[in-house]
Amino acid sequence: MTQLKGFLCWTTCVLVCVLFMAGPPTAWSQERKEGGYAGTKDQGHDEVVYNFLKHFAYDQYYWARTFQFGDLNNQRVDAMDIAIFAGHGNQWLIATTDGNVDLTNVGSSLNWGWGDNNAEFIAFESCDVVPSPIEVADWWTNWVKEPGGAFDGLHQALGFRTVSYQSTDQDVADNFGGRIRNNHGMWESWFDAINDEGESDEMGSAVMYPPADGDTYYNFVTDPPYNHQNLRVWYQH
Amino acid sequence: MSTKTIACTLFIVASFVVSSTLSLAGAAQPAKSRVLIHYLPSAQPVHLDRERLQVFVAKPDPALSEEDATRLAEGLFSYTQATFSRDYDAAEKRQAHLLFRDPKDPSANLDVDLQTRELRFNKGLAPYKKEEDTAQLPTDEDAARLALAHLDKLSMLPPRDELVLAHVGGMNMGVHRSDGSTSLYRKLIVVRYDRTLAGLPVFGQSRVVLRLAENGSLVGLTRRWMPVAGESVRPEELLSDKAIAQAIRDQLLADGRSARSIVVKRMDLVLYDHGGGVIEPAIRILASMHYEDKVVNSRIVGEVRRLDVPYDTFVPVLKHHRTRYPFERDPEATRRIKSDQPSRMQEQEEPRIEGRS
Repeated sequence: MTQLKGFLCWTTCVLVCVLFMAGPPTAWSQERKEGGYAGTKDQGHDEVVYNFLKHFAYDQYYWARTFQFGDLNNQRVDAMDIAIFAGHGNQWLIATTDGNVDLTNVGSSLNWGWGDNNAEFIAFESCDVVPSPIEVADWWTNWVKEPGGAFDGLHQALGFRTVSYQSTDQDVADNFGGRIRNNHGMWESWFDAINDEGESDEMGSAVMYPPADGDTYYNFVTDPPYNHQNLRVWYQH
Repeated sequence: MSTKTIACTLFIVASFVVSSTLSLAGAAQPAKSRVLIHYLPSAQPVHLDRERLQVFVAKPDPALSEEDATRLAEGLFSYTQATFSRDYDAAEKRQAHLLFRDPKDPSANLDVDLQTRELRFNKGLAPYKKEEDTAQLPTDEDAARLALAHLDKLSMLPPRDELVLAHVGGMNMGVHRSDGSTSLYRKLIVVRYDRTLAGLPVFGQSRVVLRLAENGSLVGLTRRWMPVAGESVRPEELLSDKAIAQAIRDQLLADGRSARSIVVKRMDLVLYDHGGGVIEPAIRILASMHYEDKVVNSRIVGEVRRLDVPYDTFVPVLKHHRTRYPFERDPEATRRIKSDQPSRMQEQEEPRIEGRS
């Protein structure tokens, strides 16, 4: 019995030492989930999504369908910590493989908008999806209106206020993925990636809950309430 | 009606006749629908000047050593008064890259590519997040002048004859508060230089982008400017004009096979810089693709939205091109992606919470 106690004591000491030497868990050792959704099957949008996801895992990697953003988003976009969509778009609108999604009305879906389940961040590698005050004086209402707005706990939505070129989008997604994997600022990484890879007329835009300005993928503030009206937009021009 | 107008009209009419089935060779899949390609008068076919074309090959500079890169970084930190330290804990360590960051600001980082000498620097945006304008931002004219001065002082100024001022813009912040009030704030000025070689614009990676703040101080810099030397291209290394025209058409139809129609706005001879240590001649195509699809969750029942989607691509003119083109896709990307079915999830779906608008 004494021998057993001694063995257990020794084993415990070794385990404690090993844990101590390993140090505290790093930010990126925390589990996060990434989802990627490609809006067309014939224009390389899968590669755009892939270039982002390859920095992480492939928790969800699908051809985009409308239900992933709308009625069943709790098990798709809103089940992820970050979702990226690559495909065609317009102001508050994305084109998936089975139709367009009106982002001003996704909050009216069966699963509400995004963020009430899990999502913190979403990125649109598409033209025009996130309008800035340059395009639309009222740039905020469509994101937070009730019912319908997509922000139901979401921290940040990233996109372009202008064109997003097909020749550069796979590089922007790759650059962005690498940056946030290294725990750099979320929207700041989006803008840096556009500066690094985009053409001179591609301009990013990012809408966010103001206290979430400063979030990184692995360190972010408490979820916003689903019905707030506070928004901040950063935009390139 | 002038001769020019008649010619233009005839050209447009002729363009409308160019419609194609999608029985393409190569990787493109056969399609059932027909896609109309319209060529605007501004999209004239390119006829290559076959005696004068050049490729630009990277000069064989030795890679930066870690010591040299650290000195370069320290020079930049000193110049911009940044307080960075080496980022040894980066989750994603890329080979031959030196990473630095400011532990107090997650937006602040520097990445030096030892192989290509490319540099990506963000001093940090934390100081600019207050609801106020950045004081003493430079005017556009001053910004362009200050940008060159910064590059010169840092010994990072590319050859002047290659520099083209592409854009002077910036970065702003807007706020909407819960009381309904709104404000806009000017935060930073951004100056971008693109590249020209032998009279042709360079698209792809080459660029210098600077972010300027109060009094024109430097707070961000992307420098991707591989030193190159020109080499003549032998005429037999080039595709024929006919083969180039066919490649353009094939590319448009492959990428736009689900579009209703395609309007080609420009076709220009440019240089394309996308890896491989080479900048080579290519055709840049600018087009608009038109789609009409139902808005599934629209407030208007049955709404169909027309999307005019900007499209660009590059098509090589060399028979054996060396840089990587957008149409060259990673088969792994398509192999890994999955189709998705809502029916599989419906059973797991939780009931909707009542009482919310």
